[in-house]
Amino acid sequence: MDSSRQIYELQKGNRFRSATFYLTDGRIVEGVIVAYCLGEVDAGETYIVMWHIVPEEIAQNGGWDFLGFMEGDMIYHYHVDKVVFEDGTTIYNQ
Amino acid sequence: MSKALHSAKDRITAASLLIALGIIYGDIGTSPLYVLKAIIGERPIDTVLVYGGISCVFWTITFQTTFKYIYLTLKADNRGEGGIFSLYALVRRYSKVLVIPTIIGASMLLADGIITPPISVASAVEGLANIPALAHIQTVPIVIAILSGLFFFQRYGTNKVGFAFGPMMLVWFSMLAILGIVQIVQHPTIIHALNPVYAYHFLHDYPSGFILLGAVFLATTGAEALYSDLGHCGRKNIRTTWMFVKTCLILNYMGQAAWTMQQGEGSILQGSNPFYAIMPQWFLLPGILIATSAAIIASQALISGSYTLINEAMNLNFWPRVQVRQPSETKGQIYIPSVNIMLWAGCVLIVLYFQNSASMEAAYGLAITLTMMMTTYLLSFFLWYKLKWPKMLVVFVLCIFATIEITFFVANIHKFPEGGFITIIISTVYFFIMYTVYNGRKISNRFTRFTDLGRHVQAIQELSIDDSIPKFSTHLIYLTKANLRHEVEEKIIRSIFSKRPKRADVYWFLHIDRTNEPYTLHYDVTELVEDKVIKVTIHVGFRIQPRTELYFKKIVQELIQNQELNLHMRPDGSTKYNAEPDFKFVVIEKFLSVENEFTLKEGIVLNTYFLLKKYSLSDERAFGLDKSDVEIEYVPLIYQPVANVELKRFKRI
Repeated sequence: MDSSRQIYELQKGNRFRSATFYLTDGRIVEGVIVAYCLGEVDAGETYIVMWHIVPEEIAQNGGWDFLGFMEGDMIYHYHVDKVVFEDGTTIYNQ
Repeated sequence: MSKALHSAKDRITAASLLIALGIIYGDIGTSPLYVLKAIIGERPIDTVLVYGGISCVFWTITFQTTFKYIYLTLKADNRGEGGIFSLYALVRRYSKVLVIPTIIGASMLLADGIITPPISVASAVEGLANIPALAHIQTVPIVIAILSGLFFFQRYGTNKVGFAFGPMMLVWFSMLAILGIVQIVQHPTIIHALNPVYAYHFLHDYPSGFILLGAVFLATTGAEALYSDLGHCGRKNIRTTWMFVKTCLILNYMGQAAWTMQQGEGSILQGSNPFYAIMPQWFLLPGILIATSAAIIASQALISGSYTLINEAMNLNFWPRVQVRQPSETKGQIYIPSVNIMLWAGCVLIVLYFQNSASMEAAYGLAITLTMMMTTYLLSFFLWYKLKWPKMLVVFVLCIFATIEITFFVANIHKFPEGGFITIIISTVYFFIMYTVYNGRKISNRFTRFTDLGRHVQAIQELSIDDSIPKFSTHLIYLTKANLRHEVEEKIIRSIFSKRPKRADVYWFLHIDRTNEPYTLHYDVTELVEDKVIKVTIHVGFRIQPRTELYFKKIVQELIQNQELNLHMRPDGSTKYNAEPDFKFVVIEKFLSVENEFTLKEGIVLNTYFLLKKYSLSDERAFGLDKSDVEIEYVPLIYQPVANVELKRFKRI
C-alpha cells in the first residue's frame, strides 16, 4: 500500500495527532499534520505528495501566523523516510 | 445522456437516416470536389495514374473510413458520444501516457478544421469558371463572403435551416452517383480500377506515385470528423447511411476517372476539374449551387465540431474557460464566440493566402494524418482494456493502421513547405495552449492544500451562533475541489476565519465533479452537522455546461421539500421585506506568488497558465454563478513557508 495513504489514514479524524517525521536528509520534524496536497494517483504519484506540519501548540491556527504568513514545514512525501505517531505506530516510506 | 435517449439515437428511421446524411458526411462527402483533380493535376493522363489513383482512393476509403472508423472506432462510444476527447475519457485510467497523444490529435484536428471550410467552399465556387460567361469571375471575394455569412449566422444556431441539411445532402449524394454512372457507362472498364493491383502499380511504378498518396488521402480526411459526430446520430444510423454514401462517392470518383480516360492518354487537364467536367453544360449552374450548398453544410459540420471539441477540451481541463452559449433549445447545440472569431479569421486568412482550392489541397491533410495516428493509439487501449481483445490481435490491428497512417504521413510531409506549415503552426499554438492549461492546472492543484473539515466543524458551529460577529450571509456557499466528503481546501477554512470571520446560518461546500461520461447530472449530499455544515457533490458530465446556481437552488428546494433541511427561518433565507433568497457564493481564485521558486519548466507553464487565465472566462461565469451574489477572494499560490529574511533595523542617531 502507498505509505502516504497509510499516513493519511492514520492522521484522519477530528483531532490532530502528533507525529515525528524522519526525513531522508536526516532532519527530524515534529508536529501535527494540518494540511496536505493530494497527488494524481492516475499519473503515478503517491496519494499525498506534500505534508504541511506545524508544532502541536499552534495547530489550531491551521499553520498560519497572525499576519497571514505560513508557519511550520512543507515536506514532500518522497523526502520522508519514516513517520512515528504518538502511540508508536511507525510507517516506513519504501 | 440516459440510456433511453442513447438507444433512441441508435434507432433507424427514415428521418434519422436523413439527419445522419445532413450532419455526418459533410466533410468526406465533399471530397470528390477536389480529390481527383489533386491526384492528376497537370500530369499527362495515363492508365497507371488514373486507374491507380482511383484504386488507391477506393482502398483508402475501404481501409481507413470503412474498416477503421465505421467498423472499429465507432465501437468506442462514450455513452453515445465520439471524438478523440470522448475516447480519451474512456481510456485515460489505463495509462498515464495518453495525455500528450490526445492533445496532439485534438490540436491537429482543430487546425485542419480551419482549411476544410475554405477548401470545400472554394472548390464549389470555382465551378463558376466552367460557365463561359463567368469564366473570369473573381472567386476569392465570393468565398470570403459565403464563409463570413456562415460564421456570422452561427450565433443564431442551425435550428431553422438544419432540417434542410439532410434532404440537401441526399440530393448531393444522388447527384454524385448519377453523374458518375453516366460516365462509367461510357467507359465501363474503369470498374477494373477497383483491383488493388492498380494501386500497387501506382505506388510502385508511377513516378512520384508515393508522393501522390498525399492527394489520395484527401478522400478520407473527413473520417475523423465523422467519429466526432457520433453523438448526433448514433452508430447504427451512421453505419447504415455509410453504405449509401460510400457507393455514391465511389461511383462519382469512377465517373470522374472514366471521363478523364476519355480525354485520351497523354492529354492534360489544363486546370479543368473533372468533377465539373462530367456535368452536362445545362446542369452546371444548378450543379454548382448544389455543390456550394453541400460545401456550406460541410463547413457547418466542421464549425459545430470545433465548438464541441473546444467545449470538451474545456471540461476535461485542456482549454482555458471561455464563454459558451446555447443558441437554441436543441440539446448539445452550442456556440462559442471566441472560437467562432478564431475560426473565421483563420478561414479568411487561408483563403487570402492560398487564393484557390488547388493551392489549399497542397496544404491540406498533413495535420489530420497525425490526428488519425493518435486516434489509432488511443483506440488500441480501448480494444485491449475495454473490449478485452487478445493482445496479439490489438497489436496486429495497431500495426496495420500505424503502417497505413505513417505511410500517408510520410507522403504528406512534402506538403509542409507548400502550405502545410500553416496548419502545423496553428496546431502548435493549440498544442501549447492545451499543454499549458492541462499542466498549469495540474501544478496548481498539486499545491492546493486540503484539510480535514471535521477538525473545524466545532469552530464553524461556534462562529455561526456568535452574535458578536455581524452576519455575513444566511447561506454561505464555497466551491471546493475536494472529492472526499470530510475534506475541504485549507484556503476555505482560512477564508471563513481569517480577518473578518464570515458568520452564516448554513455553510455549504459545493463540489462539481466532472465525470468521464458526457451527460451525467446527479448529486449527493452529506450533512456533517445537521442543518449547519453541508457538503454537496454535483456530478456533471463533460459535455454539460455547469449551471451551479440553478443546480444549487434546486437541491435546496428538494432538501426542504423532503424535510431533510429544517431551517428555523424562511427556507431560502429571504425576509418579509425582501423576497430574494440570501445565498452568497464565495469563489477563491489563486494567483502566482512571488514567495515561490519554481523550476524553469514549472515557472514557464505556471506563468503562461495564469496569463491565459487572466484573459479567459472568470470562475463565477464559468460555473454559471454570474447572476448570484458572488464574492471573489484572491489567494496566492504558496507552497512553502517564507524563508527567514535577515532584515536589520537601522537606528537613527
